[in-house]
Amino acid sequence: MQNGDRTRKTIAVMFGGRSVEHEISIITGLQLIKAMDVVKYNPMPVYIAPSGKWYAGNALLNRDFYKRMPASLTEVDEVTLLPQPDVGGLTVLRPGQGSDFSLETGTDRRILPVDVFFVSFHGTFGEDGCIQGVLEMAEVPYTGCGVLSAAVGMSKYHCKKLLESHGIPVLPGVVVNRESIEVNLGNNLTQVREEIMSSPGLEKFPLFVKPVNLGSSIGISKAKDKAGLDAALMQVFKYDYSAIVEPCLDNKMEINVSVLDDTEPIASVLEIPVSSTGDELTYEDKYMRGGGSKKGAPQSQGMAGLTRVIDPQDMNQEMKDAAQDYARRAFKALGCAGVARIDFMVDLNDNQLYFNEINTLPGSLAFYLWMNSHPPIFYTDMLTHIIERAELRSHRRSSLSREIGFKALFK
Amino acid sequence: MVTMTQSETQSGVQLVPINSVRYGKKGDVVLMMHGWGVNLDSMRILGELLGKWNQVIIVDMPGFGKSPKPDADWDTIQYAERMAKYIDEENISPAHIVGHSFGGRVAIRLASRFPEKVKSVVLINGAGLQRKMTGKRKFKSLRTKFLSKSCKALDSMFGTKTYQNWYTPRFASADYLNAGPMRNIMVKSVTEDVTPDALKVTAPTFLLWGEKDDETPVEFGERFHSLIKNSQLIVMPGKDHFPFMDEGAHVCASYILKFFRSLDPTASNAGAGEGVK
Ligand SMILES: Nc1ncnc2c1ncn2[C@@H]1O[C@H](COP(=O)(O)OP(=O)(O)OP(=O)(O)O)[C@@H](O)[C@H]1O
Repeated sequence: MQNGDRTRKTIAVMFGGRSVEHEISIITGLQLIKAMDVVKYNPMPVYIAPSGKWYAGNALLNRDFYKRMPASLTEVDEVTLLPQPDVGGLTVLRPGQGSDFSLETGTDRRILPVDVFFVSFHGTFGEDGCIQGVLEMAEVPYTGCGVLSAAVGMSKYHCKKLLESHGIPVLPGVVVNRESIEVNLGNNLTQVREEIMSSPGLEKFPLFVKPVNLGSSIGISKAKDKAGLDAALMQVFKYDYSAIVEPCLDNKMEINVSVLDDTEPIASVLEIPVSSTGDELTYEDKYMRGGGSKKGAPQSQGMAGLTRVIDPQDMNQEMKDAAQDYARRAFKALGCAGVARIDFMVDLNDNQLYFNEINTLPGSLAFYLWMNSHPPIFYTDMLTHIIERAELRSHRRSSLSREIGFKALFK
Repeated sequence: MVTMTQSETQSGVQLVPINSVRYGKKGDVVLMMHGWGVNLDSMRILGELLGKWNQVIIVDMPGFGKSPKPDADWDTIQYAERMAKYIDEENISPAHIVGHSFGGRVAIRLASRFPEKVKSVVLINGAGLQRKMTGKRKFKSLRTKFLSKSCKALDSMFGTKTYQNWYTPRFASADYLNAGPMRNIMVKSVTEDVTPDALKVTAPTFLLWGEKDDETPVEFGERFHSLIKNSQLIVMPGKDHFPFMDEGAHVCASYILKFFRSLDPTASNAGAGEGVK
């Protein structure tokens, strides 16, 4: 069997990004590159540094590269994607040491050809429609959600409202903006608090406060009383300009389900994430407890390293079916693509299931759920499927007519 | 002559106890053999994935992990004889054999000498061939051989230890230096050439090769492909001597399952590696 490089498609795997989940995205990106079908595809790592600059080059494949930053950044090409069609790939702005390009080559010819862009960011600028907008402008095939579904999926509030209208159960909630407490701190905070507590379903403590747009349990807190609510709001506005307040489920269980894009989206087995403290999952629970690597030094495995129960055998079938059904419906209602993870909460007092949030680019792309699904799907095959779906969508998009010629201007 | 004890077969191979782990409860049996200097742990992720569709047994090869070292210095034929006995003991004949590197040498021996026990062979960066010598390599090799002989001669004449103290740390491979009591077995194994055995393999054979490998280069895969009649070769660009490390295991598992499925399209693993269609 032959697999010369000319026959392989180049997949630009984009990770990092200007987000608090920068590091987790690096793990997701490097993991998926290792799992990618290299016989079919040539994965090209593309890293967006915290500065917002883009880099490409194989040196990005070693975890060590990130330890040696910023010095190591000179080893790779600084690149960008021009927001215009037909460029054919990434444009090299500044060639790295040992690059195939040089500064003498005209910019118009310093192109790294790319067939498909694989988006593997988490959080701001990468999971929220921003990068998707750039990719749309450039008219390139890219994986996962488009602008609208990514943006709606990122806002816990808009997502809830949309899904509620599709008959998916959600907890009551209100949004509070930072401006509303900024003007004159003391007075307005009381007023805001009163407004919150007069909303239906939010009359009683404890309440739960979380940022509208962030993930990874950053900025969340529980308010037991008025002072607690004030403190929770002050805390959350350090991280986001809007917050969502919900009744707090004190006796709850979390259930996550992944959904994979297909003609008819399919749902994975369920997982019950397990917190080390028996409380809300912390950032440490999610990312710092990865298993040790075979080479000695422990490496964080991102979401794949979390302690969890996958495919719980003792959960009643009705609950499982409901979660999978709601998950698929949420994915479709939001118009998602690629792979998502939908998180639910069960109020254990009355066994009521609530949609909590959707991650349109879940950590480790939730591959650990798919390899344990029925039938199991290996990460490699899942990635191939996601890439093929991206190509299909791009093909469909490009067949749309955008031009009707100049008519109105010259009447 | 060694007297035959209870733990020896008729062919004389010692029945060294074999430590193993298992994954999966249904489907064909897959017997996995690891490479030199590591143990069954190196293949666990791959084993777990293959176990989704098959009954997987990963063994510690005698002298590695928790399987004790044989009393004698075995060659790979004796390793194969022990594994053939193991297949009988476990009542798993015929099994798919997956061998990595050194485990690949044993797999070839096993498949050519005990064809009835082998359903198919998968070599992942398999060893067992001698490198083709380029001019430069030939010179280097002659020079090291000459030095080795001179040191040994010196030592036997004057009772010195130049071979051990000067030659070995300079010219021996890391595997050789780390081999400890397994050193003689290692020397036997690396000087072997399994070409005659490979020519006799009739079982369908899948050669899966990480491309960035100096130890068992792609050229070995190509040569095995021309030696083994019923074989196919897949080269994985960017992957090294351990292509199944970490998430790389998913790539290997996907291709190996496609191969198993191609052997028996009606079997329970039909649809494996197919993705989500
Ligand atoms: N109303 C609530 N009552 C009780 N606990 C809640 C409530 N809302 C969220 N939580 C808990 O807070 C934690 C984080 O919440 P959530 O999943 O909404 O935020 P996140 O930071 O976006 O997480 P992710 O990393 O999954 O994106 C979860 O463990 C969840 O169970």
